[in-house]
Amino acid sequence: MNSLTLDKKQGEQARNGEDTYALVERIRAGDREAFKSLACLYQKQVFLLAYSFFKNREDASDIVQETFLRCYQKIHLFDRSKNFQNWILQITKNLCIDWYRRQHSRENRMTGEKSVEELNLSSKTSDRFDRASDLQTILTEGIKTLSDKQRLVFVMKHFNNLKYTEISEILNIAVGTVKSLHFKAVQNLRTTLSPHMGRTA
Amino acid sequence: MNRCKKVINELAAYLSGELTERDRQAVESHLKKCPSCRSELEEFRIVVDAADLLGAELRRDLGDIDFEILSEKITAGTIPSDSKERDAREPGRRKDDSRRRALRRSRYFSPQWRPVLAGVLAGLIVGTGLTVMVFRMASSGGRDGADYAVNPAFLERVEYEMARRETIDYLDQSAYLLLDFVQATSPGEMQLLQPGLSSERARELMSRKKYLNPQLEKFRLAKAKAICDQIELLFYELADMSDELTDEEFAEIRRFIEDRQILLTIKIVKKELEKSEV
Repeated sequence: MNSLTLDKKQGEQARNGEDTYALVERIRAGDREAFKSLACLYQKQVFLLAYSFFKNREDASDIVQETFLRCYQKIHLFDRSKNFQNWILQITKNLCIDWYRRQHSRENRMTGEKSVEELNLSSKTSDRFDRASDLQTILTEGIKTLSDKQRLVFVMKHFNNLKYTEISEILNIAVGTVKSLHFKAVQNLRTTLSPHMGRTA
Repeated sequence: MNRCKKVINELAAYLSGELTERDRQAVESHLKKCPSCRSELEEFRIVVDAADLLGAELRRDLGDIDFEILSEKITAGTIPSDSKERDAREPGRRKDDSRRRALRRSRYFSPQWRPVLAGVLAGLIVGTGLTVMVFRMASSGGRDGADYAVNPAFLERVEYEMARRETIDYLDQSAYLLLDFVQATSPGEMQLLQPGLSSERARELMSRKKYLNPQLEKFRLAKAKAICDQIELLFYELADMSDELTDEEFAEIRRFIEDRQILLTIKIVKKELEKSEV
């Protein structure tokens, strides 16, 4: 819970933006310390988005590094009228999708696409897992089967605690579309989880 | 039923606190009346709660990461401290440019391209050498006929024949021009017949003579060469003169032609050349 409140505090600071814009100006002027401060401010959100995609620290770390590298290279393109957090998460999102597609297609070739069904089966035959972690494992696998956009919206909403308006800016889609993607993601995941709900409820 | 569908569509947003106050109240008032939507809500809530728990878990997973160290690592990975001064002056574009420049420089001169470069260079040298050798053999070897498809004797005869015909034609043209002089009684008449043309024609014939010279020498057409030389001398003077010849100059040329019997010589040489037709 402590880390959650910290996230929110950082997020609000970032959303307020004043500090960030000053940092961006200093980075443009060549201030290395300013870049480090910027990394401090946004690394957690970037890491969280990447980590919720991969559930793997090595991949997430690579994405974080790559995100900040691109951010530095393109800092002159950043538009002051935009929100910096949304801008940097947009970079992260693009990198995640590229990375995920490459990884996922490799995984599919190796294991096929039966992971969710197999998991469902194993949870039916064994009650070794307690309900919460069982649901979360299935949810994790379920998230992987969502479409790219549904997954992104769901992850940003529940893991990064972003608002619809922020997600809409990052993904460059209308707020109404974010809302309906979120709804569809939840509905799809409910279908995945429903056998477990019925049995344990 | 329609109302239920609308409310269900709002459930995810409702559970995430994304509805406006008015919409939230509308959903809640419907849920109070509709048990089937309430059970829908409970299933949605399980998903959303599980997701929020999972999110908290993810953040907990990251709890042991030292973000102070990570930010230092990110910075070092983005702006290497050794090139700090250089890059720091102008980030973004500058870095991009220097990277691109380095890439451009190294793309063709990087170690992995060296064998290719060496191959291309070797190919160029060998290719040039071979081309030179082939042309050398063709031009020198052609004479002794060792590796030349056409018989060299035949080639020589063709060349001779060409020279012979050229000479005959040259003599013909010259004779016409000289005849104009001999037959005309005065420069005025000459001008009437061929206004302004005599010097031009002379010049043209002289340039042809230049081309004939080496061939006459080569095939030892001594007589032909002698007469041609005389004609050339004449033309040389003719070309030098202005178009309007004075009576004196005109008479001089005529005398020159008649004294040396140039026209007659031309005729004889021409006949000889025609006889020796191959």
